[in-house]
Amino acid sequence: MFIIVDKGEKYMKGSSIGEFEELVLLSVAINGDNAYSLSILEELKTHMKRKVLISSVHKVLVRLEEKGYLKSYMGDPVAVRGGKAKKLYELTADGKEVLEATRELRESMWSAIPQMQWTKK
Amino acid sequence: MDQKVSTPPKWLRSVLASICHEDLLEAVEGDLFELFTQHQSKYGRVPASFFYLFNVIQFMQPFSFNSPRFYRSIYESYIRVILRSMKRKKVTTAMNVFGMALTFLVCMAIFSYVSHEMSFDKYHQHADKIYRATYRFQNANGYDIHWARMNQGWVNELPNSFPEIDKLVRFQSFRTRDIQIGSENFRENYAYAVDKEVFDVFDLEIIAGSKAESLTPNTVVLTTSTAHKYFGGEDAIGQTMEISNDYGVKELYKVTAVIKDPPSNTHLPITLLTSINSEEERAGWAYVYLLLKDKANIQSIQEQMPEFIADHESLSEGDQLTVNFQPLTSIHLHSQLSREIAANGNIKYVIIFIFVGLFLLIIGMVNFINLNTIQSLDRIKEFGLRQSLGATKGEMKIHMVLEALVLGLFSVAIAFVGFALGLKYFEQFVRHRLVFSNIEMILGLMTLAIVIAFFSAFITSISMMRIDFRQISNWFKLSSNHKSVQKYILLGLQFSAMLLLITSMVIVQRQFSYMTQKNLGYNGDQILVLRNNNRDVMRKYESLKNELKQLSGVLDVSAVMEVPSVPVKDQGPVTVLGDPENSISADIQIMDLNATDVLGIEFLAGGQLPQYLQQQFDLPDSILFEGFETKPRAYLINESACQKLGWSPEEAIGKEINWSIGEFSLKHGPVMGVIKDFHQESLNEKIRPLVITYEPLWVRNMLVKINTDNDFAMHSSIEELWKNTFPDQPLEISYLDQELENQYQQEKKQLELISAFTFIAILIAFIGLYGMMAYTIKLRIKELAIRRVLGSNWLNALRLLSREYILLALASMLLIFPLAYWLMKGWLANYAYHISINGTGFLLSGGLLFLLIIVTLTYQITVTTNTNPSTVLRGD
Repeated sequence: MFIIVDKGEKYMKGSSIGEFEELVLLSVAINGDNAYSLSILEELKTHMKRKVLISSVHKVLVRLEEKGYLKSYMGDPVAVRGGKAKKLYELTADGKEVLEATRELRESMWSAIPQMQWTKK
Repeated sequence: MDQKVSTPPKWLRSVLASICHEDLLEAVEGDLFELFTQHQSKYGRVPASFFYLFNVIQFMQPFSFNSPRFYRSIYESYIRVILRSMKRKKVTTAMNVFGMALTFLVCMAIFSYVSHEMSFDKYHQHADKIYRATYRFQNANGYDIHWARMNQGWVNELPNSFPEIDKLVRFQSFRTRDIQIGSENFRENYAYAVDKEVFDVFDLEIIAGSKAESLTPNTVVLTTSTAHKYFGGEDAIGQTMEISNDYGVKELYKVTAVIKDPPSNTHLPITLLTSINSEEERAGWAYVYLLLKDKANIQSIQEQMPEFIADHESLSEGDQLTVNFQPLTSIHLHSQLSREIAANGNIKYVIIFIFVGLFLLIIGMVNFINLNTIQSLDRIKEFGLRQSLGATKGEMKIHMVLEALVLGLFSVAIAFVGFALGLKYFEQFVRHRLVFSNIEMILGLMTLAIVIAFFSAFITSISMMRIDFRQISNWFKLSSNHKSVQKYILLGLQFSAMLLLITSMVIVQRQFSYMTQKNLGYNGDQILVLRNNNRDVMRKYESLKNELKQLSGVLDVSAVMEVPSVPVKDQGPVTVLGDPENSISADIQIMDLNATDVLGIEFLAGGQLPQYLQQQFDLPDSILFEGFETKPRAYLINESACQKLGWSPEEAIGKEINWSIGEFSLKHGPVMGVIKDFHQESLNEKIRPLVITYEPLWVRNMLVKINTDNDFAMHSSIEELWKNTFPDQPLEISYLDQELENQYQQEKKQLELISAFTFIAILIAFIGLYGMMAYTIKLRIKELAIRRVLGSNWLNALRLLSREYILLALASMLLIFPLAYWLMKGWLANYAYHISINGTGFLLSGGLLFLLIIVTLTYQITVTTNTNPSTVLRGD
């Protein structure tokens, strides 16, 4: 009666990522085994030095998972979370690839800036 | 750290659970819990709860929402199913939507009318600080008048004595005024002489000219429509005109400003405002308005008034003078004093309108619910199938709500289009632009539709949820579900609303036709009135009278001070010569000797006034005034005055009485005749004692008794005669019987509206009843077919089917009739002259209800029994 679109089909692989998405991916990498929404939020707050909404973090995590850059698994229930489990994230091979690609892109562009141009007032 | 773990509010957690997608829920719940504990240890429980709420709200977003795509398609499919079933059941759907749309339409009309009535004068910026001073005078004889205006000079002193009063504005010279511009003559009502401060008190928007110059001596301010009438497209500022004052003397005025026409929702209509030219002129009768300072309390002024009055007025023993202050915004609906500026509205009618609207809403809503339930019960198989395929009860409820909502909003849309198209005609009917808030109306209507939809779905679900769908056999048992308590309650409610509405409307109508047809005590047919003439005209009355009589079709000509239908404006004490104890208060009416003949007023005793009263009309006024007090007099009195004085009509003849008002005292003279009471004022007012005499100085209106059907020829010949005699005077001419009807114009309009709405209510009830019965018969169609095969006829069927409805109708009557009687008795008590309640209304409403039941049932049964029983029974 109704068609449910397969989530994965919506995004093309290899599509570029936005700045906030990039930062979230990096936070996942930094937090390693304990990469879940709140730890990522803390990471972002400390590095970006501005307020971030918890819902924005979730939103980006969902999107990155849909894009195939992250994969998730449920942790064990914890008392401090009211008996709820954490949703833990880790980078996929694609995720690592896209981070490296962005980094390379930036570095190649940075190196292309002539020294003179940069120091000029 | 405090180890006691407290949790976020439970209801917030369930809100989160209901909005958040299940894949994310576990993680989000955990996150928010952690954040909550952090916030709580930092800021305390309450702020933490707020943070929690804020966080929950954040998750009302598409990405986290409970499966948006999935649900959207569910809703789409619901709507599709609903539209399909609407298409399949065209008649029921059409009946339902039409009935509901009609209900909404009438509710909108009532809303616009009622909110217009309630909005009067609220547009003034200082509306809540403006009060009108009114005058009440009582004496020991039971004399009691309460007037909207006053003529006490000391009223001007109010702002000096009470510092709380910021400004005082007088609206004086309120009687019609003659205006001459070049050779053109106009006559205006609602033209006042006012204080300059009027602009600070009321919101009068100046669109041309200057406020500074306005209302300085000998200046006039026009409204846009008046300016347009006088000068067309020309600039009105700086133009001059001659305007008559209270004494008919014309003075030159210069236009200094043009203001916007006041809106239709004011009790104080304005055509033009002239200046008060000197401090001496600032006297006499006036409507007095006060503007209070911020935070001042009218109550304290009211309390000090008796003292203030005692300081300024020396009252004789037993007399009592009170000044009451009316809030500006309550004048239109709550002030029913004598001498109002224009006829005010009446809160009683507003309440009747609200009641009619409520009853209509009940009737319409019951229809909607009944028809909706019927429609759902008709689709029991569909619901059964749905449920056996795994639909939960909640999902089925959503379906029902959506179904009712679609119908409800559809009706709102139709009603809205209808209202937008019909508003113009409605405004034409009530004769003024209606001021109301569109947004309030739309929001109210939407809310109403949604509430009704939910209520309807709730009632339907009660019927549906009792069915055990697990038993397939139940899917086919329709009849077990139609007899439900809520159906009887709803139907009983509808019957009661209908009965109450019809009964009371019949009584209201009877009262009104009684009022318009009651014998007024005089005959107003075929009388032309030449109205509001000044002394220049009336000085030539005798010669004009003779000339008018020469015209063909004119039977007689007479003159009076106030035309019947216009209240007499002067009341004063009557004393009896040789019996100082016997004194009453009476109105005065001045009539030419033949006026009793012209008006067909009957005598109880005695006869007409004597000839000697009719003298030297054409002398200068000053000479006439000189002999005013010493002139010999003679009087007629009415029945009420005669009774008040304690005489029989025969005894009264020859008794010497006099009448006075203020410094004007008429000499004692004999009572020449006693006339039967006649209604000088509208039938809402009780007839008061009246003294009649003839005084040429005081007549203002001419009555021309005619005997012709050719109105046009009559008018033009009178007009021609007038133009030749008085080239400078405007002629105001009208039929007396039309004037009488105009008195009841407003009430008549309102009653017509109420009747129309009642009729619509009956129509809607009929639609509902029809649908309901069609369904009842459908359920028992096989039973009826079998009965028919066994030899029963339609009469048996009618008896069988109508029993429950008849019983319900009887029960409603038992409940409603005493209530209707009590309510209407209270309403009738407001009228000085009213009908007594008889059986008509009750018989009519009860009869109509029975008729409705019987006719619809008979029709339905005839349709059913016309089909061959074998066709019906073949199915199984």
